[in-house]
Amino acid sequence: MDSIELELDAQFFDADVIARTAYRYSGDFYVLVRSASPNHVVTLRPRTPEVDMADLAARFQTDACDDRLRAHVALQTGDLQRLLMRAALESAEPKGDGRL
Amino acid sequence: MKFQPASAFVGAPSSYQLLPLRFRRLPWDSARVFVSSAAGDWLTCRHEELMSLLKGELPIDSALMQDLQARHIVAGPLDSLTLAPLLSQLRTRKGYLDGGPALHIVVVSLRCHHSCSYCQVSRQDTLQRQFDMREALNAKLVERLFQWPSPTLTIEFQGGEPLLHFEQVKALTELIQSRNRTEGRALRFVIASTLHGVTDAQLDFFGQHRFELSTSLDGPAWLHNANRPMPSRDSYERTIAGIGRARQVLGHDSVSALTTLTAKSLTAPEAIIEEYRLQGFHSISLRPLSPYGFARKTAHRIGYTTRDFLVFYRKALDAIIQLNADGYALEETHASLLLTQLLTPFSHGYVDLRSPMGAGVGTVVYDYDGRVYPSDEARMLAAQGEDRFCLGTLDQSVHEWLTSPAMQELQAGGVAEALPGCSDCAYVPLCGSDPVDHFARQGDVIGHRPSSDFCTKQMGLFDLLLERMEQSSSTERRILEGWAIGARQIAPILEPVH
Repeated sequence: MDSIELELDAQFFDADVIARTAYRYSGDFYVLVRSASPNHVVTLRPRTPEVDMADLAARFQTDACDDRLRAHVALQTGDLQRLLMRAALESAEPKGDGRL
Repeated sequence: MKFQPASAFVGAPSSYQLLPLRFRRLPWDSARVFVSSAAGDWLTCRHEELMSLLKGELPIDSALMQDLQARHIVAGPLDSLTLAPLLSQLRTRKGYLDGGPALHIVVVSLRCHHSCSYCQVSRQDTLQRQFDMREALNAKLVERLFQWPSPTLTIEFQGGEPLLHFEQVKALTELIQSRNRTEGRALRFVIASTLHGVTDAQLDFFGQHRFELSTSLDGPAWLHNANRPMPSRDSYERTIAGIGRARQVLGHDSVSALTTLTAKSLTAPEAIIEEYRLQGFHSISLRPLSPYGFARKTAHRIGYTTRDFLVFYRKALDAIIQLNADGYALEETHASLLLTQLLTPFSHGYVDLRSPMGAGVGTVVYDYDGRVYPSDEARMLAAQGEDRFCLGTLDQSVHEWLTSPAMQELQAGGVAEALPGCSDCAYVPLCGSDPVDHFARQGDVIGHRPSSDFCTKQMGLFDLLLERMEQSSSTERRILEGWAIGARQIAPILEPVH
């Protein structure tokens, strides 16, 4: 089965963003990611012949852009998210020495 | 007198604060996104509107901004008052964590008269009484049960076939009731049984203690008898007779039913639904196969992919909605649970939709031999020889169970918000984690989300319900909203019948 190779601008996309996007594709594809400045190079090879290859490069690029947005949101709200979760779960923690 | 222009009454523009949010492009319209808050409030909007929001350019007086603020996705200039409702909503959403496990499953016997190809447990022949729970365990079991602090306790008896060891069901129920005179908990009893040969005396006992009866009905006779074979080849007829007797004594709504789906079942969504209508049921649970016990051995013959299940489910849901629109009330219970998540702020605590996980935190299973598990799936794995999730035995305290190596391992995969692939999923505030299922299917409690059947199923169902609601007529939408409101009452009895 043919693989495809994508190049993504390393100035625009953090390596962590590309790793997250690549992870989403790792169910249907064998994924190889390497850094070759000035680009990240991603190789996707389908695991089975049934995998949908249509518009694969465009899909990956779009998902990478969305993951970049998610990273932007996480940067702005990550601390708040952790604070809220900790506060919400506090009430469920065992009291005293943890014995019920 | 001259009024100031409207702009004079609006605060400083571009003054808003993003709150934690997640988003997902709609699979049926990639120009739009589903955006959710940390507490699971959500809306849909155009992707370009989301971009504008994230850049800080969304007008503060726009209708979308008001919607986003109402759903705790955006706040005005950051202050603690604005965060209090979000925290309150998050606590409400995770309210199932208060009080510890409420569902307690007691396996009174592994004996069963069926030989179902999809059986999830190691069923035993009806003569093998060494697989019955011994009465000597009763006192300890009741002691442990009341060590949990939950103000409500659901005790579900299952097997094998629990009616084959009815004396144990009776003895335990009476002991629990007796102890509860001083404990004052709200008790709920459920029995998961084929109801074959249920006697009047047994039904009287169930009526006396207000049992809810849960049985298996896989569809019309040809399908039910194929899925649930007996030497006498009349499982369907016996099930229908049992349902009839129970209804006669305890009332029409005393029995609920589940259908387990084999590959053969996937060919007949309309026939299954029609059977439930004919038998007068008003709820149906379309349950896919699980990778445990005999189902694992026969997967090549009776199994199917999760994508096949989702294709079936779409057809079945359409048929059920049409039936409702035609005037017969029938709800699909898993859809109801997901719709409750989507359309209400409340938690129902269904095990697949909890984060932290339901295993051991929401459910405890007491096996016939006195061993204790955090979920029925963990018990099934032990029956297959993998007992790493055994919490301990009835000789140990619940504190020892909670601090066991099994619970420590499960906790590593037990919080969905912290799992790779889930942490930035827009459905995660409404979804849950299932480390036992991921271990069973993928050999790891954390699991690999892109190839996870659990994830494919949950996301597929959320997508399907959202799409269906968006494209529904007002009548159809009212039907789905009705399921959401009723769903909170059915969650605890959605356990399999073996």
